[in-house]
Amino acid sequence: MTRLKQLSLSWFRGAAEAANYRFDGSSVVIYGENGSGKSTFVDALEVLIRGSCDHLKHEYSGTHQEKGLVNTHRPSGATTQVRLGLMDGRDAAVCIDRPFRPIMSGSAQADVAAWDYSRVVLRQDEIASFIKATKAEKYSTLLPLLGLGHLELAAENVRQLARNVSDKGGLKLKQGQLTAAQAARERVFGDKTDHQINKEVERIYSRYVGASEKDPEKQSSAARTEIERQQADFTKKDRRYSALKALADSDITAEATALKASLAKLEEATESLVKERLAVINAAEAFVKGLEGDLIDCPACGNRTTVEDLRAYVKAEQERLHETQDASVEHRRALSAYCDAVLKLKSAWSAGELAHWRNAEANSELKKKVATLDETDVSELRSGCSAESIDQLETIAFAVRQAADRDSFEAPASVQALSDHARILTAATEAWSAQALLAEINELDGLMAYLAELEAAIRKEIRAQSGSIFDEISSDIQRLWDQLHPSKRIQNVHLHVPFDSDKAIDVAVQFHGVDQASPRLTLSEGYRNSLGLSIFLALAMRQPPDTPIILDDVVLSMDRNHRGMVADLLENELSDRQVILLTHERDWYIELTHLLKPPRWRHQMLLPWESPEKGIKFQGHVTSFDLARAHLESRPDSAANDARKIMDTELPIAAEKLRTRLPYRRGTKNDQRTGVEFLTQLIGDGAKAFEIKKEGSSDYTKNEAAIALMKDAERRMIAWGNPGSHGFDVRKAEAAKLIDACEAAIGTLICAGCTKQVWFADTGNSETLQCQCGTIRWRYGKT
Amino acid sequence: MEADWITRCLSAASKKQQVDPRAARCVEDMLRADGACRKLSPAESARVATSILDALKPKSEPEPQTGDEAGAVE
Repeated sequence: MTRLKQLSLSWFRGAAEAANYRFDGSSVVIYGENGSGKSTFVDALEVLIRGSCDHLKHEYSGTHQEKGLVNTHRPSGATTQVRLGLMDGRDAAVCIDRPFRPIMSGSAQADVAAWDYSRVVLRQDEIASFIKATKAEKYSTLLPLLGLGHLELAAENVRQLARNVSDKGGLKLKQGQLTAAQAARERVFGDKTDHQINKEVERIYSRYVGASEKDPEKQSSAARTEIERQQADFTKKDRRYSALKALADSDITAEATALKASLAKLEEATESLVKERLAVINAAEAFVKGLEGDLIDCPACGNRTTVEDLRAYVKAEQERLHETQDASVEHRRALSAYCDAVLKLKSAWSAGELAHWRNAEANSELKKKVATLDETDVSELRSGCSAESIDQLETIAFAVRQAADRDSFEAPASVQALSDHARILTAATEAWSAQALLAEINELDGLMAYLAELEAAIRKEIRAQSGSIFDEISSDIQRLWDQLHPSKRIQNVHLHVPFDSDKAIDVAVQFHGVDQASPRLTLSEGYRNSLGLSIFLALAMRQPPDTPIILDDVVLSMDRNHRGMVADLLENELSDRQVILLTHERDWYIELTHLLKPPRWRHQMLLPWESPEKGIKFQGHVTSFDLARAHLESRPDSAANDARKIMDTELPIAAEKLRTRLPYRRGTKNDQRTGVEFLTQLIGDGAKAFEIKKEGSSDYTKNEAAIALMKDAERRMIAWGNPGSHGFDVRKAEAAKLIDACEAAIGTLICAGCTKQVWFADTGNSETLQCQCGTIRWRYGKT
Repeated sequence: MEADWITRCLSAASKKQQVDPRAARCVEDMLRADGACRKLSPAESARVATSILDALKPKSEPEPQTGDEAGAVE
């Protein structure tokens, strides 16, 4: 990449047909009052880099932000275009035409799009919001800037994968099935071990088959076949006994109990959750109503709380939601098991062998009750049932089983034994299935634990890698901070990952020797913004050398002294970078014209924006007084006020350079002197000190013409400048004369020959300053 | 030569928790493809989960071919 040469806009936001921001590889300070086109420049860069503009991401800007990006008064047939030219001749462009999808082009387009916008552009609001952001928000902002975004993505993907493995593997469902299977095993086998169950199967196998098979499952299968064969040989009466026995064994009590328990658990979890959620919403409503002062901490409940408490609260909420989810899974499983049991009961009840028995019961109470059982549609039941219907079916089942048990009591022992043994074999098969289920669950648990360990390992990697990068960046931040605030009251400024949190980054400082976990505890707004600027610049300095740095109104909350420090910092730390500095602070702009010198720096002024058709315009011949003149037509008061403000800024600089001594004043009054006071002092000192070389001679004479011009400016400033600043009527002609007089007075300090200021050089003797060619001089020792 | 971070993390995780190498391979494939470049969609993540679970399924014995399947001609 090479440096920026020019950015040209056509019908883009505030720009009309052509607006050209020229850089020619230099660093540039651009001044413009609000709405003159500074942010349009930043927006254009953002669209080139990101393809869209972040602050236009809202419902009114259109599908492709065309309602915000395209000049509202673009003539039909015109095209909206942004073109960035680079010093190596390449360019990157974006064209926004119907159907408004931005079309990127240019030989440098891919390189420009690869810039990290967050490390290229810093806007004032972003500084404040960064420092104010939570640790988690800082983490999200900084991690990609540190080049560790891929690790965070990996950790998040592993976490999401673990959830999917759990869902897809049916872990919760299997855990529920295992619990049910273990309960069923207990019902048949009590607390018998696996070995004892196998022995039981072996005993049955020996009784019915008697061969030499050793595998319990094969033994069970062979014994079952033999039992079924013997049952097939039953007499009609025995078959009826057998069916009655099966009916008597069709117990749905356990399933109904489990279902009711799961239903109650689900209701409890849901009801409590809804109650709590409502309480939070009510608290939030009260919070919004009573919002004033500094009581803004917890965004959910509005209560002032510690981070630890908030974290514990969030964790408890997450656990409760997980419990609710588990209760739902458990309920679904219990309902399914219950439906299976009801189906089995219905099947046993409807057995052909029991037709006679059922008819015999036709007029009994049982027959009336089981009408409900006959009508029960199990597929409907699977979609849900109430506690009342569960109770009703359970009562019926109990009555049916009681009747079947009563009438099967007289069954021959052989029939009884066959039924019992068949039941044991079925239960044994289910127990073996439960073992397989347990193995699956253990495997899934192991996989989940592995993924959790992997996520932890990635987060450990983030901590390790960020640690070394933090050390380097923290050192840069501290160095930058020291230049902005040399008083050393704040030390050990550094980024760190808190030990008690995985997804957090914070800034810590040492304030007068005391460690502070957050700059928000002790630093003023101005200091916090200085810190934000230091952090941004430290990160920006890690970019490739030709990547530009754009600073948009970043000194708003800084006092004049610290703004001067920013200029020094740009000169000292970013001398090898192309910096575009945008400001709407005219005083600072004027100061920067003295502090940031050509050829490295250029200075440009935007004219006040007038209309969408005229668009963004730069001041051609750039002087600050020209800018004041730009207001003459529409706002003469403002023009006069501008002239006075220029003098307020220019004259203290001149007075300082010319060693003018003003009487000391108490408190802040020293900083509140007006330009008139400095001018009066310069006139007084200049009467003796300001000299001009006589024409055709090496002798000097008093520069009376200059003093006269200064006096003229002083008179007009007292008469018109001050009223202008307070809103009294100043007519256009008067304001024009004031501007001319002020410009002339300032102009006296610049040599007409060499164009250098009278303080350009110190002669080294006789306490004299002079311009480069020596035509004008200031003998400050004489004051 | 120092191992890359994916290898380091996979190795650290498997030291703490044994896992079937086939499952570990699926996770590694995910990380080396897009898993460390962008946030995977729920559907993509679900596909990886399915492939892991499939990898863990015991391979069933190939069924013996019947005479017909073995190439009997009608």
